[in-house]
Amino acid sequence: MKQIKSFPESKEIKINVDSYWDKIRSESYDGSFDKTTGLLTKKINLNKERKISPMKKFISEHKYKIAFALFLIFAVAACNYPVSQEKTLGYGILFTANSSDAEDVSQSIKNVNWPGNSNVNSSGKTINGTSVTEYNVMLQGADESAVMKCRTELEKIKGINSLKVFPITENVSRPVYSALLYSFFKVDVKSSGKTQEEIVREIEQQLKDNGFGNYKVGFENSEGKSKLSINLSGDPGQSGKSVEVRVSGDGKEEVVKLKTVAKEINKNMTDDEIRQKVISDNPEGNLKPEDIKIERDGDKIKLKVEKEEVK
Amino acid sequence: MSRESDKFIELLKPVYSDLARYCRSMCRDGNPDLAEDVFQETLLKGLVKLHTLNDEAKFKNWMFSIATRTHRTLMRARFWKRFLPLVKEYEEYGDKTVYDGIDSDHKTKILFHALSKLREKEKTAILLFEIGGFSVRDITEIQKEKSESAVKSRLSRTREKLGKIINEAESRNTKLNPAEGDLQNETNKIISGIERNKN
Repeated sequence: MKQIKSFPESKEIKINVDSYWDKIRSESYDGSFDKTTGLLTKKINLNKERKISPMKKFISEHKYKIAFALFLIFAVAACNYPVSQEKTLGYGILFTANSSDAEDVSQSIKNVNWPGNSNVNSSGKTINGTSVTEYNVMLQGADESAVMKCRTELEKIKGINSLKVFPITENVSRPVYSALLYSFFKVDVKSSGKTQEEIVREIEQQLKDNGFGNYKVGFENSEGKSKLSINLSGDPGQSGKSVEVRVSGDGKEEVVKLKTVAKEINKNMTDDEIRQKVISDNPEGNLKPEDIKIERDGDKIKLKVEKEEVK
Repeated sequence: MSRESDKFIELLKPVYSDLARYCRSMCRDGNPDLAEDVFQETLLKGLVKLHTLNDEAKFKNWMFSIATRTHRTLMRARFWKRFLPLVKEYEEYGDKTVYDGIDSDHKTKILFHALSKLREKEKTAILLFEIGGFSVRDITEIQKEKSESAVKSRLSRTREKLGKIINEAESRNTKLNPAEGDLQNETNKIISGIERNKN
């Protein structure tokens, strides 16, 4: 579109731009110099007073209030901060009895008035060469006074040694149920963020802590699957004991249940006899003879039970 | 502080008028209120930061740089303040000292108007040259340009642009004058007509 020239004469006007600059250059401001600098000095002093003095004054007047305000901020921050806290969920009682007294003690403790949800477990153990029976009692939700009454009753029973009462506490790294399972030779491992080597080391440490000497822990990797393998062999002191290892993490759980071979199984038994013995010793396992694999190496008998449970 | 302010006043005296003119010319249509704020803020900053000036010979360049930055910051603050009331408001200086009673004539008004039409960098360059009396090299330094040729071509372009704007404004002014007369004449005619009807 062609533009219409509104002012065709404009080109004809000769403008001397320098004359416009001259006008501005000729304006003098020197007369205001003294007034301006005076005002400037005054302003500087005023700004100093404004910036520093009120702040100093405020701090000196309100220092206790400021300290209190800071304290409150820290208190609130501390409340919101995640901290690991122990919470008593119940109590555990641990005591031993000489193997000779074990039968009497087992009878006597049935008459004890256990508070809360009680669960009594016993297992054989060798301490300093002496065979003892160790009793673990879990008292979930029990309060301290009731547990102390219970302790008094237990102290009266003849044959009970080394009576210990300990609170069951919950902590972040190991939940309370895991801590209790630990006492019963059950191993719980959270595998999230751990390598296979770290898991193996943790299981080995827990087995070692529970008195197992000969063990072999490892992962069998085949067909893209990892399978946890635990081998407990030839430890006379640990015969007939159950071990349950649970490795959980990433929404999956792998459970390995082991039972050290009881003394009743010996090299003179046939494979079928051994299978029947294992089945009868583990009624909860719903085992079939074909689940039990037996390997013989001279006098050594290697028993392996493989059963996959689908939940 | 008093020794430093004495020093500042001593250094300021020779450049005072140029700086005052520069601050006013930077402002839209030479607005004296705004110019006063820019100028006083510049002086205040200069006095407070005088200890950071290493070479006293560079005082003029330094003060003009401060003035340029102060004007830009002040303009931005005023612009954003319209949308964001929390933007730090510059202190407005109530006491008018520098531009009090300054009356601009026709040519000055036209020049201020023309300067307002320029881009920021163009306006700064031409003002530093024409009012500040700086050399191309100094302007290159103040405007933080890499080469003098960039400033030279900017100055040349700006002069041409400024000439066109002034030319156009003056032409419009000449053209508009008779229209104003006609309007007055027509108004007078209407008024006398009404008065006749009343009688």
